[in-house]
Amino acid sequence: MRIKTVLSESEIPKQWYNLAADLPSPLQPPLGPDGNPITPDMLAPVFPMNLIEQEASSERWIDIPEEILNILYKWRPTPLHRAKALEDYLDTPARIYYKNESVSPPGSHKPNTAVAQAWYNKEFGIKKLTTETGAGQWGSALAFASAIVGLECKVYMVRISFDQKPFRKTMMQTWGATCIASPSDTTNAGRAILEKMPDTPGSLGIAISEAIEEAVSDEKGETRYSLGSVLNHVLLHQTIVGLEVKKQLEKAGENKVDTVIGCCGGGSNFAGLAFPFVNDKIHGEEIDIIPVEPTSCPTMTRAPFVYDHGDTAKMTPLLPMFSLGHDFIPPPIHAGGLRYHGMAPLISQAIVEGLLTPQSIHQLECYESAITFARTEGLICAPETSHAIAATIREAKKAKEEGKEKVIIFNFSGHGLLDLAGYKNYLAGNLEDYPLPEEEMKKSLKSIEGLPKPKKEKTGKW
Amino acid sequence: MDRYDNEKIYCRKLGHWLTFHYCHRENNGLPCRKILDCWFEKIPVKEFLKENYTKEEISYIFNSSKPKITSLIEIIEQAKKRSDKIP
Repeated sequence: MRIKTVLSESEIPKQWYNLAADLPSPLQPPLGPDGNPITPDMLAPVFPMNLIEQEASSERWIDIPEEILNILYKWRPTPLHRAKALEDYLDTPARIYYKNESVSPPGSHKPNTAVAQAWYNKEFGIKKLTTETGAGQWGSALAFASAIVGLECKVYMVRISFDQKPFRKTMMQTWGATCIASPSDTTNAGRAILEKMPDTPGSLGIAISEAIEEAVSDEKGETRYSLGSVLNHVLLHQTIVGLEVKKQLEKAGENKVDTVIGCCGGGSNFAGLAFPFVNDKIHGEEIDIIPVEPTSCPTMTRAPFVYDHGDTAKMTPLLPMFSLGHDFIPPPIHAGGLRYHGMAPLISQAIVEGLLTPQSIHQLECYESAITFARTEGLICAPETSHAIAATIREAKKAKEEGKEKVIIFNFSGHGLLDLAGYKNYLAGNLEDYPLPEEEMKKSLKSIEGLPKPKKEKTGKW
Repeated sequence: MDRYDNEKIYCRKLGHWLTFHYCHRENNGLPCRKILDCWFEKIPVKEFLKENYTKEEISYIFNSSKPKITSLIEIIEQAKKRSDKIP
């Protein structure tokens, strides 16, 4: 039996897939703070025009530049694994596959877009990228990409995380990035905070504000801001994951996929695996496509479809997305990538259409699944990846109950070797489940009252 | 004020364990607006707030938006001026 299916470099997909071209109902336009649709020139201060064009593109296939492929070859194509040991443990008739994105240098799927963004920025004449980070996964991916492409990179890391998460910081510095504690004295936003509170531990909202301010205020116009999730072009760059999987499944002799699963925070790792399969579903295939989120931080399974800002500082554009409101702060869960409170607009629209069937899972079940996976398949997953594993185990058990030989695929989006504190707490019995109470949900939603609500456009086919 | 400072909790925003000391100054020196939701089961956090903050401060923490350090519009206007200079 084949456990690992690999592609040669010559077999790597040469184009990204853009779901916007195939969505049966149109994507709602992003809105500015005044409620009017934003225009490309409004984004130009923070993104290069070549990426803005991708952001707004409705082309189905977008060529991956050869120079980007040459960088991706460092770890791509990534292997597709058959989780035979997990299948045996579960005694399921399902065939379980996982796409191993943890083999990238920073250990997650995030460099797929970090490399592309860095390259397009360089092509546009940009010399320096800025971004913000909490625990450091995105910051380290962008630091890696900037080093390879040849850009300066500055990462604003929340001061307290900067002090408490030294290894991600060291990764960023090793790749040559400047990782600076936020608030810093290099921006007006940071200085204003520091003047008032010299010993402040910082916050994510401040870090985003600093990163954007640095990009916007560069008088030479050589600095831009980079975001690792949510936006269309970010999801586009990730589709290489699912496109590789389709080729690998064919090699593995699988003709039909039943279930596609990915954890879903801002949406990029889920979209990367799932969007090529969503295309199949749009064109008639019967596939269950499941984005998974924590029960304690539901954005897809319980919140209404509204416009919302992407950050607490309300500095990012208004985008149509499933959201708990910009004031919402998720409850304690060790899954950095799942902490974004709003879902990517493309994913939101696919949910509205009925193309996706979101699930939410409690963190204790996720950690239990992660442990099972580690003890069968051997890999220690990132906390957010454990949601996909938990959903996969649920589906595999369901297949057993139904006696069906289903083919299930999930995205192993990252390893957890720098996030062992959550495992430690789980193993010590210190974690607890925290379903979001209705009252808290109502309170959170109050913060978005008055914001414009988009029309729910759907064809009703799914 | 520092009575509970060494109590630990898993931070909802940052993804690692923190002490109460962080939570009551995260928001521009004032408590994080989620302080009640995170801590109500562990310490008498309502009483803590009443003892240490004015009504105006509590209102600011829980009822107002987080202060905009710089607004998107201001940044975009600055960027438009700057982008004209890009060759």
